[in-house]
Amino acid sequence: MKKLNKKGVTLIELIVSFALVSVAVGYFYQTLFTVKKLYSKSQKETQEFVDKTYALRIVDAYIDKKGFDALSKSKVCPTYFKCNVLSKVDADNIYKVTITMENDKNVVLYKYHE
Amino acid sequence: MKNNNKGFFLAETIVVIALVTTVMAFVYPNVSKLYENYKNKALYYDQPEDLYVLKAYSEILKTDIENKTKVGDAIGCKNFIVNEKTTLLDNSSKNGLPRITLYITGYMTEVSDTDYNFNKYLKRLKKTTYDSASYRLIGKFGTRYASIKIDNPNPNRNCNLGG
Repeated sequence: MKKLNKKGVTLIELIVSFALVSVAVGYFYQTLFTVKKLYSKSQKETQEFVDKTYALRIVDAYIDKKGFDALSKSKVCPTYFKCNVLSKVDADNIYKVTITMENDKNVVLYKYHE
Repeated sequence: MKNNNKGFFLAETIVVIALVTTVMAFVYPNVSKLYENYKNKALYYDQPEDLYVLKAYSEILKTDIENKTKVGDAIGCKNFIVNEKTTLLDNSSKNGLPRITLYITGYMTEVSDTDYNFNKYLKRLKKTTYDSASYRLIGKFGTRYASIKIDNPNPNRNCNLGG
């Protein structure tokens, strides 16, 4: 009959392997946590960028189509996209329109006109 | 059956560690740059509100730029090719627009600046856009940078891109 290997692992070997695995798992979780945090942050930033671009385009197109005087505080953005015109100034051939976004951040549109 | 109790040689272990370290050394700088590049793109480069400001500037300055008598030698051929701030455009504050520093550059120009971050933006611009016939109006909005393509600022000039 074949002789069995009954050596197994010693306590020292077991402790060392546990220590190594713990260190590896610790680093892995740390990385995972950092990536998760970065992902949420960048997702928010990207969304802000997209919203800002969209709001500026809407207001710009609105002025081109209906004129600066028709620009009112509540009727510019469509219902599915929340943004409001906070203030508008027409001085020295420049329209300055401040738009408030859904996240309460403001973005300013400058538009030249003859 | 005879067991193999040898395990690893020290030399083998060292070789493996050296290989892994080499791979990590190459991978880490590239991965760490990813977020920095993303952050620049999302927060500091070509923000939509800045592009609208540049558009307004380009429309205001179009007449001034084309009219040499108005701005004199400051907008000579050289200043459009070499990336220099013109007297007219430096720290412009026209018609209630935000006060920014403007540059006009021919695309083929080797643009560079002493400001490290701005230089990075210019290099990226050179890498990511290709239109040999176009000019760009570049604006520095503090720590943010933006640029738009513009028409040849002086159609009558007789020098070529790149000097």
